[in-house]
Amino acid sequence: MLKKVIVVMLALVMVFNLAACGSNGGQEAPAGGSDTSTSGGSESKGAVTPVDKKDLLFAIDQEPASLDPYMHTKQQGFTVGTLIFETLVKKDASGEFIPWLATEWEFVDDTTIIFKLRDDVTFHDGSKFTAEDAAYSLSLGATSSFSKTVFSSIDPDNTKAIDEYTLELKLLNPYAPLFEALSSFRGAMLCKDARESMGESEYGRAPIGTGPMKFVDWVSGDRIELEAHDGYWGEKLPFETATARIIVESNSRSIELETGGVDIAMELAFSDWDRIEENPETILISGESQSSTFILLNNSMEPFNDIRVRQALAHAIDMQALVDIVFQGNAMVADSYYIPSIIGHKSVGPMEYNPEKAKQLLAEAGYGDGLAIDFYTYEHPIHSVVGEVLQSMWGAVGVDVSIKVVDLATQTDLNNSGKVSTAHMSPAVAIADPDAALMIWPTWRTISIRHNDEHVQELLDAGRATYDEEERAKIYGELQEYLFSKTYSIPVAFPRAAFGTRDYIEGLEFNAALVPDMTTVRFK
Amino acid sequence: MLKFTIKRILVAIPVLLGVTLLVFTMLYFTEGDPARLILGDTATEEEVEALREELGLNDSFGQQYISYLGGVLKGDLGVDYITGRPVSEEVMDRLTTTLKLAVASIVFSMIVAIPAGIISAVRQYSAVDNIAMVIALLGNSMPNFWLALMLILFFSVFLGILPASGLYGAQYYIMPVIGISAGSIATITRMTRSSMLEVIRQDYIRTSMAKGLTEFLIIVKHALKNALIPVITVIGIQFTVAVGGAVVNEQVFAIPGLGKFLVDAIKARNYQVVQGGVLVIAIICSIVNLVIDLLYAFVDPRIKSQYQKSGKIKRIRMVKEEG
Repeated sequence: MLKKVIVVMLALVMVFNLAACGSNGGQEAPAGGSDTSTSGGSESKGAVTPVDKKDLLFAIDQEPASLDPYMHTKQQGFTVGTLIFETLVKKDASGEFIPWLATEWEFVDDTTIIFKLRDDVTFHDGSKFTAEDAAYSLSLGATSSFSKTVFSSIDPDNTKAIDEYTLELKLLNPYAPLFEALSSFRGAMLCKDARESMGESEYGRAPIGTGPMKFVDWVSGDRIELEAHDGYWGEKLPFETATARIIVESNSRSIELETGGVDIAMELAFSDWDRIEENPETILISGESQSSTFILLNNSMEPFNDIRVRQALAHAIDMQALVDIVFQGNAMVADSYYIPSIIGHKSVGPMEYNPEKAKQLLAEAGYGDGLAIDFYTYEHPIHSVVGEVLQSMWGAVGVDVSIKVVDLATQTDLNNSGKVSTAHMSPAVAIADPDAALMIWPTWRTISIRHNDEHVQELLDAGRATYDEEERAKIYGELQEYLFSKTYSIPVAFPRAAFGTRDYIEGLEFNAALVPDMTTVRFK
Repeated sequence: MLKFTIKRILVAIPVLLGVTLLVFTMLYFTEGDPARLILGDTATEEEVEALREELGLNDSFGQQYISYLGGVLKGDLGVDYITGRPVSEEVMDRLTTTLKLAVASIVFSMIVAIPAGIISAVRQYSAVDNIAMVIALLGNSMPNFWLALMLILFFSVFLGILPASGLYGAQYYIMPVIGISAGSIATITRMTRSSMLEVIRQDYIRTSMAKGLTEFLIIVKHALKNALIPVITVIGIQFTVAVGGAVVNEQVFAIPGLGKFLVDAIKARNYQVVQGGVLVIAIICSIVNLVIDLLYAFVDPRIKSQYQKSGKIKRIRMVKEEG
């Protein structure tokens, strides 16, 4: 019996060792992944790139559903895509659009643009990039449910290749944000033949682009691996491989950065910013994101269909206090409906904090004895805190707020079927243009804001179709004033966001869309 | 024994069917539209409706369930609504990682907890017993999330000797295994202790002592084997928990495991993934239960004879009926 016990115990130890070591064969550590790490210890060497570093490791906060830019809307997918794909034009630091895969372009009229394309570009599969691929990509953008918010003005039937390297882009109507959209990675160039033969699902899983890195592997839930594209037409990157690690938990992401497990960490939580900034081995890159947050009021639902109630709710909020509490000092109070750095921004708010006026307006609207409303939220670190603060502030003027906590799927369903009464929202803004920044306002939208105001739609249409920047800014200025006067929603904050890098990384610029161009990364 | 095993496998079939029906029914009646979640808020109602049609979500409850079941019988668990990949591939990708981690955790738990439980029982109320029980209490009461973060802070940030997340080699397993095992070690230690206490007070142990056998031999040869039955049960339960319930550890250590994957799928109303994942976990639970039952027979000859007896009795009955 004793022998049997010893044998069993030894077998258990062996199984444990096998289980632990067995992983070595199955899963390779991402190149450069730290087995041992230093964090401000005696081995700290300041801004010195590790010897022979030929890999880039960056942590993203969510797994993309697809890498095909026309099959998702998530910034994580676009961030990885900056290494795989390229666009016809790029935007330089001064905001000018510069040639990239397109060498030059010409407006024939308001709805026809001719692009001349580079003739030395090849896809990762060795095939040539031609105008057929460009026409295919942009037509796809116009029809895909994921990308048509920025490309719906493209005429997919008449956009065509004139010759191998000349593209005729036709628009259904004049579309001022076109170049902003074309320079974003939402307008990346795909390989037509590869996508058609692989199918959209497989292509999204193993994409083929023209960028400096090509796809190697995607380990579900763990990482996406890329390697240098030898046939790249442009400047080679200083790293031979790049790995995007999927680290959902924000604490783990920042700790991996601090301990050298990754070179770059995206989307850092507010609570980690100070630590990353104070650590001599890491750098915090922060800036104003291009999205804004607001309190949704359901304008088709009582009592929010009464402007006096909407304005009373706005006057009852001490917005500075709310923003300070919720965003921990990392956001500006929203003075309008989109951020100041986007063309045409006009400061129109915030609404004066005046609880007495709020009570008076409620009394005028027939709610002098009080009012009960529901605030919808889901498991979200910001929205649920906003709900609690509003419960207190609105409670002070006699509005009894019941916080309904549901899950995201239920809230999305309720919101799009017009059943959400109030909620705090922070929709992503696809491109740095008022047309995208005001995407919650078109009357066709199904979300619960439901203002049904045709004047808003007219101004949106006019702004979208006006190429003259001064005239366009005027239209959007008028729209912001009008929205503020109607108080269909209550703007809350322009939040900041941050990435972190190791100190030997340079060249990575903050990107307001939270899609930093990874091709700009260099080692010191 | 073989008959017993075959019978247990056959019994698992209605159990698994029940699991598929239960999960399918719960998902069907849960609020939240997968099509809307996939396309986002900017999609029009027509686009959402078209996708619902494409995914078969407009079919009736019966049609959807029969179609799903038909697929399962052919080995097709459906397609992940979000990635478009077959659910079987998505689940298997995660299952491998989860099983490696679960096996490592349960083996580690046994190595630590069984000796600790035996020593605690044999030296009841000694300092060793008290220390083991306090550690067991801590292991049971510490929140997983907190323990995982503390491990990272200590071993990765403070000492700098272990990688903070991922699962790319032997040393990557250390912290997740400790995180997942903490609760199991506590439970198995306490169970081993109480079971051993019961056994070592029995007459046959006293007789063995009177015969002059060494304490080690008595404990290992005579007491432990009889005390193992409830411990094996607990180990089985802890293993199934490690397979489907290591969500927090998977999130903190950035491990692409099945638990976290299923929670995300539920949030995204990714019906086919949830159904496929739960079905796989149910199959694993059934297998683990079967293995535990067989281990009972291996550990305790009385149970083995019962299994064989029930087979013989049946055979006799069948012969009589045929006669």
